[in-house]
Amino acid sequence: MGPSMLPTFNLTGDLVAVNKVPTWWGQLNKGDVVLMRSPENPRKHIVKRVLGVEGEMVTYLVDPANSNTTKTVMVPEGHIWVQGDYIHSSNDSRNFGPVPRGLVEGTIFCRIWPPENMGLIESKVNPYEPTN
Amino acid sequence: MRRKELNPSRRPSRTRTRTDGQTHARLGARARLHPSLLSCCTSHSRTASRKPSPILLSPLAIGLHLSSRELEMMAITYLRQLIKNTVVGGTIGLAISDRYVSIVPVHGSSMHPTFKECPTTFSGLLSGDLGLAEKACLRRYEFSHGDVVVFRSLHDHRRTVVKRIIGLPGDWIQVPDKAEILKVPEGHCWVEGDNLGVSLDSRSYGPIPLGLIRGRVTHVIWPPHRIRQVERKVPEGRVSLLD
Repeated sequence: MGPSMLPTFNLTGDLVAVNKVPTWWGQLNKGDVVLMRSPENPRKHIVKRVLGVEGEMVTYLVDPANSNTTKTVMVPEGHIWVQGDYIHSSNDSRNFGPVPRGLVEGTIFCRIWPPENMGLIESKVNPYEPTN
Repeated sequence: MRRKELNPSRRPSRTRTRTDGQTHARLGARARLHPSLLSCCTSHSRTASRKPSPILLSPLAIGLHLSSRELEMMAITYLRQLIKNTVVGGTIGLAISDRYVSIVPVHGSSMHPTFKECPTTFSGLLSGDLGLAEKACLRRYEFSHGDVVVFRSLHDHRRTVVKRIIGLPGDWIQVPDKAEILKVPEGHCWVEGDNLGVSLDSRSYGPIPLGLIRGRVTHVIWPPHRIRQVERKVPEGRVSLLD
């Protein structure tokens, strides 16, 4: 795994449990961390967070390193908008656009390894907010 | 099981230790008990040599010369076996259809004449075409021009669509209605139906990611007079493979 999902997952890789049942029932919420096939290379799996489902308007920073300009886009039917938690180094919907939901293979709900970090992964939109 | 063995052995030892007079008295008292109570006391044992109680028997049990309790146990064993077989068969079927091969009913006329439409009424369920989709191509996602594939719809991920691959990543496609040439992006493919007049395909919604493909249709397996292999064919003059 790369750096695109810091601080949720660390750089050298964690072991997580993937829950495949929601994909059959069609229930995908904003803020879920999902495992999906990359739209650029079908043999690769990528892990990202869902920031927008179909019908919603999503606002995102176009180039977070250099400027504060934002763009707002509407997510088309049957698609979702995914972004990595560490937006400075993440290849996600800001590059390849909204992805069809058929590419999602499952949601990641819990981390198994390393054991000191074992626990559920929260489904929240802003991962940098401290949980109260 | 232990109770079965103990009961017959216990009764003879009890009668043996008593004197004759007392044994007869015990038997007499037992005989005066109601027959249904008697069958309750002896129902723990499953030997077929005992006489069945007239009150608890069902007609089927009478016909088979069994007690109703034995019939119950037989039915439970049979049901357990049936459930176990169903679960095992279902799991194996699911595993096979996930990794190797699965059956695809074809709806809609966008692939006419390759597939004839499958009507949606119950009686017509078997009169449409059923295709055989193989999943071995999903290991490496390598397809050829002209393959007929099954993929998840872009607009509704619960529905699957059957179309033919016209362009692979890196190809230049000439879109027929507009005078423009498009390059198929990396990781995507251009699909079109055989019946161009009614087909909704990449000409309307653009190239689709290869990750959406669920299998490649190689044969038609129903109805029997249409069993044949699905051929690969590419329309001419649409695709240029030059970079």
